[in-house]
Amino acid sequence: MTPNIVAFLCNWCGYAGADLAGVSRFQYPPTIKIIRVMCSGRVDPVFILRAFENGADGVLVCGCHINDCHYISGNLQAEKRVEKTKQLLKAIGINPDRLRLEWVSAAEGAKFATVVKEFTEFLEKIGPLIT
Amino acid sequence: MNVLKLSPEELIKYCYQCGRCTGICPLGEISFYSPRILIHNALMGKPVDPQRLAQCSTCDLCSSKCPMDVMISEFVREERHKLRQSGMILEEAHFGIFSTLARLMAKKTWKANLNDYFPKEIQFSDTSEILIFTGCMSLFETYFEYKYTNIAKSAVKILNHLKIKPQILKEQVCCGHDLFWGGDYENFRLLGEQNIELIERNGVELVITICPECYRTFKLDYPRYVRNYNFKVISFSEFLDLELKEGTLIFPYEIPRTITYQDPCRLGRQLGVYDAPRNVLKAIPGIKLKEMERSREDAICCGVSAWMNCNLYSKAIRMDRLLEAQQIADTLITNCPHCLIHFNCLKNEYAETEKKYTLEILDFKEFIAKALLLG
Amino acid sequence: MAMKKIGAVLVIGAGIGGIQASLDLADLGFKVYVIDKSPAIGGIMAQLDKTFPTNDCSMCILAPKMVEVGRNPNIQLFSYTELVKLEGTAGNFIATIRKKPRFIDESRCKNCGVCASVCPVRVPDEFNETLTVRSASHIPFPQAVPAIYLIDPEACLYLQKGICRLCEKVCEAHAIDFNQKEELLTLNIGAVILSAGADTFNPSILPQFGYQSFENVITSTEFERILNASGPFGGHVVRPSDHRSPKKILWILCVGSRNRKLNNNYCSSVCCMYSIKEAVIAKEHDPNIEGYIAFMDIRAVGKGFDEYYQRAKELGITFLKARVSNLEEDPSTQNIIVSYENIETNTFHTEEFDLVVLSVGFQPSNSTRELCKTLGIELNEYNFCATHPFNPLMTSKPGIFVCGTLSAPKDIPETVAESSGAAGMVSSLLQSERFNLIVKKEYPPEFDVENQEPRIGAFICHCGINIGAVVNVPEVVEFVKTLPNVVYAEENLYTCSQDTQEKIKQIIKEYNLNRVVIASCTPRTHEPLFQNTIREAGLNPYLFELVNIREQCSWVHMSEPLNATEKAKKLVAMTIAKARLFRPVKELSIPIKQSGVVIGGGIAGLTAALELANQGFEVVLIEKEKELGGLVKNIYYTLENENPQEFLRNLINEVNTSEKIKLLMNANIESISGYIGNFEINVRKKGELETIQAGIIIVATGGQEYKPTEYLYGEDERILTQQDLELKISGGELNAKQVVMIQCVGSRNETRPYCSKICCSVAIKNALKLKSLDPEIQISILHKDIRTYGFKEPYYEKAREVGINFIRFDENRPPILEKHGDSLQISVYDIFSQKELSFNPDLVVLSAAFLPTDNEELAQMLKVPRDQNGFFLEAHVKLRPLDFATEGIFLCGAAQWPKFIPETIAQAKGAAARAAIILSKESIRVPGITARVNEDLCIGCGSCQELCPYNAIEMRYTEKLLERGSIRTYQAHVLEAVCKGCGTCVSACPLQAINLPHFTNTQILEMVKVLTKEAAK
Ligand code: FES
Repeated sequence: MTPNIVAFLCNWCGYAGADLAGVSRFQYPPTIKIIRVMCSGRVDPVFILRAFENGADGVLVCGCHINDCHYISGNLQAEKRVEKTKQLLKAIGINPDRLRLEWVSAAEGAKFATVVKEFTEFLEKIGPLIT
Repeated sequence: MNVLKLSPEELIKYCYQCGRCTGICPLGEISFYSPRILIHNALMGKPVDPQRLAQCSTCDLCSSKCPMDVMISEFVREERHKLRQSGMILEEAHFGIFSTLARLMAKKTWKANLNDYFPKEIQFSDTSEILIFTGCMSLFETYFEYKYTNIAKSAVKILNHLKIKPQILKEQVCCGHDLFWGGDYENFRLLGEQNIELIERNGVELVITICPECYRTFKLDYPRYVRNYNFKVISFSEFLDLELKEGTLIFPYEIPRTITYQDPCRLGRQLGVYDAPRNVLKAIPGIKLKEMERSREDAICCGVSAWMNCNLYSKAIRMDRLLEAQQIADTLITNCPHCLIHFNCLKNEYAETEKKYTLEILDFKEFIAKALLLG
Repeated sequence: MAMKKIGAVLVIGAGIGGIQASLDLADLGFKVYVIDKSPAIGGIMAQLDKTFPTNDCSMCILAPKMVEVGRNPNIQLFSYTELVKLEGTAGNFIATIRKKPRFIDESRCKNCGVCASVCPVRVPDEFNETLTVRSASHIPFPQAVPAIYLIDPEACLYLQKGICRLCEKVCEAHAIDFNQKEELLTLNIGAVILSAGADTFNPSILPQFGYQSFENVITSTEFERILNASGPFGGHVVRPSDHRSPKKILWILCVGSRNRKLNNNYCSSVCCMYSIKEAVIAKEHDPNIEGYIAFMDIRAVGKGFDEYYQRAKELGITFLKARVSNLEEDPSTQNIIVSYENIETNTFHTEEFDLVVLSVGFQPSNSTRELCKTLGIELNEYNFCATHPFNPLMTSKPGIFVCGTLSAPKDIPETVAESSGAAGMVSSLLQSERFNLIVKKEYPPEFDVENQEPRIGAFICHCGINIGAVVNVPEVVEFVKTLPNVVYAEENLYTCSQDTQEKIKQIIKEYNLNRVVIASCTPRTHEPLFQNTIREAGLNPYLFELVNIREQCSWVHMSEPLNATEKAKKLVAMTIAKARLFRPVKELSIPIKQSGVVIGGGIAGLTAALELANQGFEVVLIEKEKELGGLVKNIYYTLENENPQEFLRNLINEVNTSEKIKLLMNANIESISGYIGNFEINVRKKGELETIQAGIIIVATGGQEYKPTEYLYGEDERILTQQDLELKISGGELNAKQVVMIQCVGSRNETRPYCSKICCSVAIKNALKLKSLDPEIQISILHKDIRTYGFKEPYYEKAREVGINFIRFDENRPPILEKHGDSLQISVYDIFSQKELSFNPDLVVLSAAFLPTDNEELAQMLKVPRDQNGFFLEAHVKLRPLDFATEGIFLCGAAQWPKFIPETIAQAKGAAARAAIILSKESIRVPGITARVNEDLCIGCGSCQELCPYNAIEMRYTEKLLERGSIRTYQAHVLEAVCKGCGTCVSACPLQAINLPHFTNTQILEMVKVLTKEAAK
């Protein structure tokens, strides 16, 4: 099975990190499709829940490291909201680890590739969300 | 209540177009919303304005005055259902997160885990004939960052205090009230089936609900739209009232407070439970229960149901209601988590200097638990 | 007759300083030529991994600024270029520059890297401090600006031996040009800013450190690269000899600094902090690492620095008070054996470390020395560019300004502040020429596409073979044609090439397109190019979006062409779904009141006001006291023996006579409202209320000396603070024989964990003064560290020279002062001699902490934050030291942090320049992507307002009409000028009443739907 991952990446770090992974030709599985947002603080729990409702197997949110957010504190909100969404997922019975938040800086291309690889392997292991 | 035997389409045929409904509607006072015109258009086969349909809080203040017993809420819901069938989705507050969560719970591929918050000292029994149905408190708590699970915790603590160890369903899902009232019958049925099946499988005789929406759903809507079941359902307030009458529930401590009680539309007008909670509250020594001018059948609702119609109009209704309560009491007792959520929102809203609303807002279950020093 | 002034500026050196100066100058309305001798800009900062004290990722914060330099139409960047000569005078110079050949045509190179992939040559990579190799054809680092390859002629086989030319064959863009020659160009400019920086010290000349001979002795810059995720070892901390993770790492401070033998008597100011940072980050990477730092004094003088130092100790970093005596290598393990005396314990050690990092300081480079010679400007005794303390940004030659480490060792925020200041000084000089040479792009009117059915055009790029070799581009094109609303789709070899731009415009016209989607590379570099193209075709730039199928598809799924193609289709489909929902986004224009307000009349405020006035703007200066001058009123001489009183008198005089400056003395601010360009300040003066309108506010409220509650202060007249002492000295009323000074009174303790920065130097200044007045006087200074950073260090040396005693005490054992009868007695445990010492001074001087002025109320009125110590908090401690997060409000001087006069002046000039950027315009355009409130939906709960980091949302109490009657409630209102468009508020709104254009809820949900629902099929 090939998991389907929807990713929300902030423009300044997560997306830049993914770009660097590309420039450096770090290979990772094509499971991930990236939606660019200006800041991880833009990511709404409902985006995540709808992705799962529609059949995504995993959702990845990447923002700048704490203190590095281009908009000062958007990533703190993202952290809070992702935590919330994980709790909601847990309550309704979805494995909260299907949602992942990672801080990926513009210099961490390798990290981005690793995150995608590991997340994909994890999702392969636990199987599809909707069978 | 036999009116529920008729389908909404049949029901509205009795409408005289007398306008009593619109004249009493709290929305009618401040907007051009008119239940009468909605019905008229439906009868004439004209399209019903979706905006207006969404605006109705389905509180049934109108229906309670209707000389012909037209249940306007039923009609509104049915129209919403039709809209939905035609592919149109009505906007919900909070970006529709609660119906999204409910739809996710309706899928049967995984097992919900809504009740994972009770501390160890609260006791349950897997073999009890009594089951407590806790609704979606954990979701509210997480989303609104406020201790809404205390409502459920308090309820079970009170039961424990009365020497009852109820059952609780690990895999219980949302009752589906909000999907139902948003017109999504399909997912509503999926939820209902799961709950009924689970409860029946566990040999339950009596289900106690702590949320009026669950109560109404179980009592009125599951039998009509999902299926009949073999257990009884009672609201927590009624249950306590019975215990009070039997002398098992005693309040030994004095609580000097002036309180007033907000009738939830589901519990009050739609199911006729007015006295039970009041009896229990009045039994607490020191309590002064004052009635708002508009109470019981005439009670004004918190303004929103099924997350459908939060806007300036419902806010106006809410502001009015909270001030009404504040004038006569220092504590407002709500009996529906949704009322609590909405009044809390208003109470905590932005204010430049001092907050306008000072009264304390507490849920009935929490208040009783406090009175018994169980909190 | 004076020559005509030219509204253009040459910036020499494009490290962070040159970058900031260029951006500010362009924003101030000048044409900028920026040259750098390297093929890519960014300087040292581009090589750093993280920055202290916030551990910010260096590249993350620098890259957007580099991109902006590359993109700004009024900045012309010449990389790989040097200055040949400069003629003329201030206001009108002619510069000749030499551009070295890259052997790659800049206009053709698409940064695809195919040339490098075929190049057979491998040489050490300078960017990674030669820890890795690169090919002859290379780009210095992935984020390089300009994003253009170059061929290293020294390494290229063809240029050296006449064979190879492989790159030429594979370059589909035909960018390789072996015939390129060096070019000489002349530029006509009005002023020059020197920001050429300094080198780091090369430890090879100090054989005792074994840098040349031992593989596991490296410099701190090399260690930065090792820490970096895109560095030689992918961010794994390993040592060079065997690529094993080191367990014990030792940092040796002051390598090449504080060294009289080398004539480097100065302190390099930054090494303590970056070494602590490196140790902390290394430990973050690998918790097994034991970090050791061998130091003389830890000079943690900046904001948050001492707290960072303490945290490092808590993390388990060991600080050894020692200047290492000897290093040897164990040949079997290649470990380094280090001998040192630990001064704190008076013990000798021979200890083995797996890795030794030499914390190298700053050193003026030969090339900058040459440069200064070419320009004919004076150097100081250490070969840094000479400046005057009261005019720190001016070189010896009019019209040539200096910033950054070219004039003295300093850290990033100081460099940034100076760069803005230098830009401001240029702006004063060339004021009359502002906007004269600036290009303003004219566009045709926009088509109205509202209510039009979407007609989408899609362009799918091969990017040479970069995309096309993996993704089946024709298949994607065919697929795209089947999507609803797509009326045109085609493939391009290079969608970004100039001819394709023309073609796109033509097709927009021909097919009546009202939405454009391009699938190629990253929007982070190419979005503006395409937006510009469709704007030229009359479409709003937001009717466009870029799909990244290169960096995030073909380049990362190279071995899976089928899956990559499927993914590319999905990504394009998702964007087309969004495109259907595109709405034009209007840029907004906000009128600016072109005058400013400066709060505080110390030298910071005076300088800022004067700078603004010199740049041609009206200023109101508000001072709460009856006299101008602030803290400097109490300073009678400086360490460098300048007379600040005279300087202050001149400054006040200039302010008083300036027609542009209005003074409000004895004035109290009662309220502040408004936002950038439109502030309203209510000031009460002698009972009368005055309302001032201003476009900007500069906060320069300064600081004050702490009045100690310790050491019997106030109980005996022989116990003074440094300020008291200075007053007494200047009054000539002193006659003491035995003086003891106690440092850090009220700082670096529990209540005030920070270092007050200036007290060490002030103590030395006063001690030297006392000594000069009476050579017989006995002075002892009791301290925790002597923190005379930068060029203050030589005075510490001088103080020892004239016989002032320095006694180091333990943090946990402060000196004790007692009064026995009439005599004062101080006892202190001296770390140097490991003995309890006792003094009977006839004068005790307390170096009391430096506090901010009472600023709480002002902070509330301005809605700006303060740090944990009560100083105002800037927008970003590294790169925005003079701005508040709230647009239009700036800060400078001691209100931000304790500082000396030259630093204060540089900051004040910088803040004025930042403010002038706004004031120079009648209106400012703000990007259209700002949050928008739907007033019909908003119920005024305030959830959005609560979490906006910029205070861009104002809650206004309003009467709102209902269909019948009305309701009084709050209503959220976005200050578009202030909003940055992050969209964090959107998810907080319970009612979707607030939204972010181009990233709306519906648009994003639509994209999610395409990626999931259709994926399931
Ligand atoms: S900009 Fe990256 S998280 Fe805010």
